[in-house]
Amino acid sequence: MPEAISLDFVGMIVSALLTIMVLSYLIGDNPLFRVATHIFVGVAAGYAGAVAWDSVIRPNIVSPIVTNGLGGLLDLDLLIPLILIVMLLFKLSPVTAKLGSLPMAVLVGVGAAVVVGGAITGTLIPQSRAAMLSFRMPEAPVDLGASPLEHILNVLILVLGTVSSLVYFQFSSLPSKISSEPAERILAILRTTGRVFIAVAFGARYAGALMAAIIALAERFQFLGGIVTDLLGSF
Amino acid sequence: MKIGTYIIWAAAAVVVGIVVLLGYFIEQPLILETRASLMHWAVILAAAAVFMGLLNLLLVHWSKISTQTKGWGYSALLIVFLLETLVLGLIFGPDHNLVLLLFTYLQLPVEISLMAILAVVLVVAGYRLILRRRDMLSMVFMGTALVVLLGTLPWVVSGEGAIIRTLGEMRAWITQVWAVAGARGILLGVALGATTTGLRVLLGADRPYGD
Repeated sequence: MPEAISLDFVGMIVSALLTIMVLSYLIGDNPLFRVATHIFVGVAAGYAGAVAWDSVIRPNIVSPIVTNGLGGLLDLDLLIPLILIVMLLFKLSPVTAKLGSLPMAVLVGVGAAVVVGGAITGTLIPQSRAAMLSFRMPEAPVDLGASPLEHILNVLILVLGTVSSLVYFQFSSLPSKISSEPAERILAILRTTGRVFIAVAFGARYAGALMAAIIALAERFQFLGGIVTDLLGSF
Repeated sequence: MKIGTYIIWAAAAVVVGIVVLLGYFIEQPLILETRASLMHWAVILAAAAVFMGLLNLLLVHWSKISTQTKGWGYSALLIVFLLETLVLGLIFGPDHNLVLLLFTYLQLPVEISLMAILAVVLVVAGYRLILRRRDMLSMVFMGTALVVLLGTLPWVVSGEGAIIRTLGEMRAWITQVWAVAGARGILLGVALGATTTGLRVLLGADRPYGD
């Protein structure tokens, strides 16, 4: 046995035990796995609370009150969030829950705006721009072939894949004038093509996720092997 | 009474949301300042909501312990570790060595092990897919996955032979053109869906904050 068992050594043993407990799920759901996941949820939730306190509540609410006393409450940037937090607490009781709807409305309003703004500026515009840039050989975001013919073929595949995948997501019905038979047939072909492209995209993502998971599995076995070697070496 | 309160909450959500949204596209000092304040309040509220979530989690598991529901021992374990991490985090801060020890030796190994289990789960799911659904899309899905997996193997990446080179090129072509095309369509579809859902909230058509 090592002369002085360090905290790190105990930590490694605990880590190894937790790893074995989680990996035991491979033989089916069992109490060891449940113990490990409940510990995980407890630590993760406690850590999230500590981060929320240390990064947001303490510097923005507690510290200004401690520093400036109650006079600090004259600052609207402190007073309004404080009132909203108190109103949020009303949500805890079904009787007063209605009063807690105002802070929830503020949260949802800001959240919805951030989602819409983020979707437009973070996805719709950059992705459309990337699709347009791929038409121009020198500015294409990825290498789409050395020869012009190769480039054109790849751009056509890119455009067809993007458009057909989008068409696949079109679930609303078309106006009667447009839903004539030839138009419907073209849309049906596009939808089927879109499903193929989506299957390819998911297949590539599946392979990526599988590779990452295999690396994690190998790392865990390497870690367990290292612990066993250390333990055997210490005797 | 019901109509009155509903209008107040909806008006608050709409006004706040529109000001924040305008801040993305209009660089006017008043709008930008108001938007910054609203975002600041929302961040503080979200942090307070985290604590309400923790309180709710504690209450749910405490009721399991007090009623001795099946599996109450797990709930007790969860509460002990939650309070231990939270109290240490509140006293010393989340960057303190003691809290980092809990993170490194309890949370991290479970996270990586769950990720490791995913390898087996994904292989089993893929095998079942091939076994139960032998249609064109399943074949395209698994065929793509197989080519990408084989093309990423170290001996393919650093290999010299003609077959190995072709496999590597096929992998690159699939991931850089075919998969990008499908993923771009999915991303645009998701973004359009998110925009629609967000606009429904901003127009007051959806009111997830309650009436």
